[in-house]
Amino acid sequence: MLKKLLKYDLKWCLKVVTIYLSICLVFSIIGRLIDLCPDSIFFKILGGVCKGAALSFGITGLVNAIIRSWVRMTNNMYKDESYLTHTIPVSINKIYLSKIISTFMILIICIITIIMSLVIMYLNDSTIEMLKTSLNIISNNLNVSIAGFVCFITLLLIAEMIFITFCGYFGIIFGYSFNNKKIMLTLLFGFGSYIVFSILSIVLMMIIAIFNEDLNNIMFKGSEVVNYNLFKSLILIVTILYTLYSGIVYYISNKKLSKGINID
Amino acid sequence: MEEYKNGLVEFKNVYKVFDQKEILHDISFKINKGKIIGLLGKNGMGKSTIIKLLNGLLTPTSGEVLINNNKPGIESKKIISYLPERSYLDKSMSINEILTFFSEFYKDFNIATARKLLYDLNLDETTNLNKMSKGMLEKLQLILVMSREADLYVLDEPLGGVDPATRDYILDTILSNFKEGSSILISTHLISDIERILDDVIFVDHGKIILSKSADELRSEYNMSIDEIFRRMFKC
Repeated sequence: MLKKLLKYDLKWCLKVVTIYLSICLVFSIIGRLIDLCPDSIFFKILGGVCKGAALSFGITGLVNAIIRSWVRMTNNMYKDESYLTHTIPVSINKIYLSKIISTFMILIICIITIIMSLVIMYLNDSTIEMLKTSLNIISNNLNVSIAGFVCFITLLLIAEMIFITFCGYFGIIFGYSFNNKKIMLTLLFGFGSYIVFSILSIVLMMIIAIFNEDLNNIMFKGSEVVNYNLFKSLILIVTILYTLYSGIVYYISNKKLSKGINID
Repeated sequence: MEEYKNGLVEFKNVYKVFDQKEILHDISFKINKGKIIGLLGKNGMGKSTIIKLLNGLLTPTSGEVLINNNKPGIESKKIISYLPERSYLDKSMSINEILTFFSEFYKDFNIATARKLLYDLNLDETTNLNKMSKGMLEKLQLILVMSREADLYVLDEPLGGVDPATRDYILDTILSNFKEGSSILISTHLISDIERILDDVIFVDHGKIILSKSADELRSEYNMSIDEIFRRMFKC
């Protein structure tokens, strides 16, 4: 059943997102082709416009994917369509899990497309050399491989986006459990959960700073010098924290759904 | 109240409170297999709330709802075919996609029956739902619901806001397509149209069951039609 639910969720969300992502790729290709044209101000401006458009469509696609996943969740679970969703013989937790997995998959698709678009637009001998040099410097200082560093950053990015999406779902589930002012409460619970966990992260950092001199210097003494080892540890800690928070938010939301729903 | 054996549905002292307002008060009744039951009452008296509780769309504040001795859940959803009073289909889909959706999720969905009923209505399966009128969407929903070979059909106001010709179509579709031996629970305030098909009636007023009897017994007891009894009981 999960596969079937996923099929419909993915289809609904990707219907619009693929348009944005396709336009993003088309503009990237046009931008790259324009780079091959004779050197002139006109082509430079045109190329810049195309590359700018490609990036905007890529980012809009990503934002749209997150928003559409929330809209899908609201429509399916609490609006008119919920009369069908909640009467198909599938558990509510499985329906929720399908939303989570589909969002995760769509975010990955968006990120891959944006990376592909960047590669199409900017990858040439000089950028490869520049990337290699800068990544080498970073990886040497952080004492990790280039691939490891790229993986860390990508994981951090995905973990944060998933956490934001989960907070949105959390807001929808708790906001719609009330009989009145559902949209306002959805926003309140959604933003509220994000802010509460962000404050918790800062508090945790402050506690770590008591025992870590480098972090203490940055947080309490206004130092702007970032130790590379500290930087590496921070990326790791934040990624773990986001994953942990997402797990907590998912668990609480799932528990709430298990207690039953109330549709208007 | 009549004591049923082999109850398919059982409500046991169900209360529902919304915003400190009691919507349902001590609702208890049973539905037997093979019966057509009319859930009758004026608008806003709690009929839809009872139906939503039955389908697991609401949770009771207290009391118990049992379907085949199970609380509303996956097992009950397998045997209940529910027609809500509002349009619940994803408008971005086509009729064909909706048929596939129902076939995939409901094992008892008979796609051949659905196709036949659609053909009778001259509905093209490739039509997108967002291009269909409200009336056609309602008919499509009815076709989907009645094409299931369910044990219980729950129809919430199927005759509300439709012209007499459509009412006839709806009643014909219901009567000629429900699975033999199954039960039907119809909620409505338009009694004259359906009273000929009812076996039992449940009158709901201000969240309470004020009468629950066999339709024939009621007619002979009061010596008038169910519609007339309803009008007398619910006189403003």
